[in-house]
Amino acid sequence: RNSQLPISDHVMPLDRYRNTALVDGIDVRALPLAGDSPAPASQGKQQQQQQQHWFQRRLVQDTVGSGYVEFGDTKVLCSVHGPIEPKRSVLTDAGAEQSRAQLQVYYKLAPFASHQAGRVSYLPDETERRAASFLQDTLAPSLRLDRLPKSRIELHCLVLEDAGCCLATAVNCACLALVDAGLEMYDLVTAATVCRPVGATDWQLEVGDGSNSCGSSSVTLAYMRSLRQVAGMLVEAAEPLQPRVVSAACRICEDPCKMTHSSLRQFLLDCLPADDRTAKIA
Amino acid sequence: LLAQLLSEPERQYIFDSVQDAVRIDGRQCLAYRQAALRLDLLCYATASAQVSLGETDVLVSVREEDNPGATAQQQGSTGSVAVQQQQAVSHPVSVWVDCSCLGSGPEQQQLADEAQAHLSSLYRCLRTPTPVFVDILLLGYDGNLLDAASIAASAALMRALPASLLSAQALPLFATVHRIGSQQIVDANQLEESCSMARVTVGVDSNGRLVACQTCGEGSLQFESMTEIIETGVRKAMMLHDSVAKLVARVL
Repeated sequence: RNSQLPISDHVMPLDRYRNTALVDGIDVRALPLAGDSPAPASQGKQQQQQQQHWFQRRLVQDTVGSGYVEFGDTKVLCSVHGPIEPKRSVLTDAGAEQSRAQLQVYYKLAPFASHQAGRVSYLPDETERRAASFLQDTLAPSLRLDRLPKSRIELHCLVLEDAGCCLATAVNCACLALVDAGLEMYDLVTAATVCRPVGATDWQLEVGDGSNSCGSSSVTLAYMRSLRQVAGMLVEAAEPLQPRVVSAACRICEDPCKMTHSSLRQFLLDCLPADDRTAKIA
Repeated sequence: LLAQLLSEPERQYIFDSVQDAVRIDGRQCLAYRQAALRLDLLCYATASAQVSLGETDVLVSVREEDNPGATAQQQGSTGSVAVQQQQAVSHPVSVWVDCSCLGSGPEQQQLADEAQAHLSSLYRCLRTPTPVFVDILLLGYDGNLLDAASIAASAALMRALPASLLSAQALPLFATVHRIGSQQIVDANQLEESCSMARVTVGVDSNGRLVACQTCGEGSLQFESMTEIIETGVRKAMMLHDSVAKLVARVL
């Protein structure tokens, strides 16, 4: 209720409800949002070698849970719906046991998301279907699907900008959305990608600055830190690689995964007081 | 896909017997089923191959399309003949997997999608001057689609592509290793696939180097287990390379 708001002719009656942001005469809309991201990655090379993740949750209104992660210029938004009615097929109708929830992941790049590929089509293509099944296989080990029999959990993942390592960022974002939805998990699943151009010898962490060229091999590892288990691993090789090189690359991915795990955990703990002011974190 | 109707005691039986290194068809844990390979079945394809691994039956056709630039020699707007520079163009191999013989439900479609993604990544390093289309038709399924399809597709591609392109090397093959409890098995049939929690599929070329590697399944692995499984996969893939080379030599 704002008595300070001038009633002018062009303001529609509905606009009054939008002005709840005016508090004590300060226009909160003019202030930077609490979720403002840090300086964009394009600002010079003086940035730290390790880019920081930016987490945000509850961005999407009508969902059970949602998460938004920025890693450099890569931006991913995930939303969770569920538990909802399971998909019925011939097999479920035949009486197969529905003792666990079904996890269904949908993964899509927005049409404007890709730097190199130009406009992405509306229908999911092969890479996106593969990413969806990778996400499903990666998040399922950690989710307590047996706590929700005869139901389905839908996870929609939308990549708003792909500047490198979008699959790893999608895993982090999906994990954040699932936690925000209040689904029980054994552990947070975090992922990182390392890449190596053809002919080079060192693996470098892929960060969201668009510097990854198409002609490089990449290894994406999804890791559960507390359980010390690998939830998923994907190798895309631009040249034949020795097996021990691939194993070494997986080990290199472990540290960035652990760091992302700590920062995600810290973010979730920091969110708790805002949710429930009487909660005490032991 | 009938394996999803397995009851819990049946699943437990398969699990327990694999822990004792006994598989339900009596094989060793790291043994493949009897494989049969037939080449040159289809007359309109550049090359074709059919592989049966137990009940899994895969038919692959490889077609090399004519160079599109060869027909584009036409008058340009300036009146001169426009000759397209085709030497620099290289095409990736295009793969299509069809599981419609099994039915048209979502599970079959998911099987086809996964197989297509894996096989495309297997041939990612291969570039051809003319577009090559690999069409994979699944005629029967009893587990281990990826290994069978990779054997058939590689055999057909080796027949179709000129020897200069292949540089005297065999094309890569997949080896899928499943992890059931604490045992590793290869060439799982449908029932064993439904009991396995995690599997690793490695695509290996004939020099023992990886061209593709992915973990699948709703289970997690420790680093050491994953390294062991990759090593097993590479060993089995090298064995597959030998067997396939012998099979192809016998057929020709």
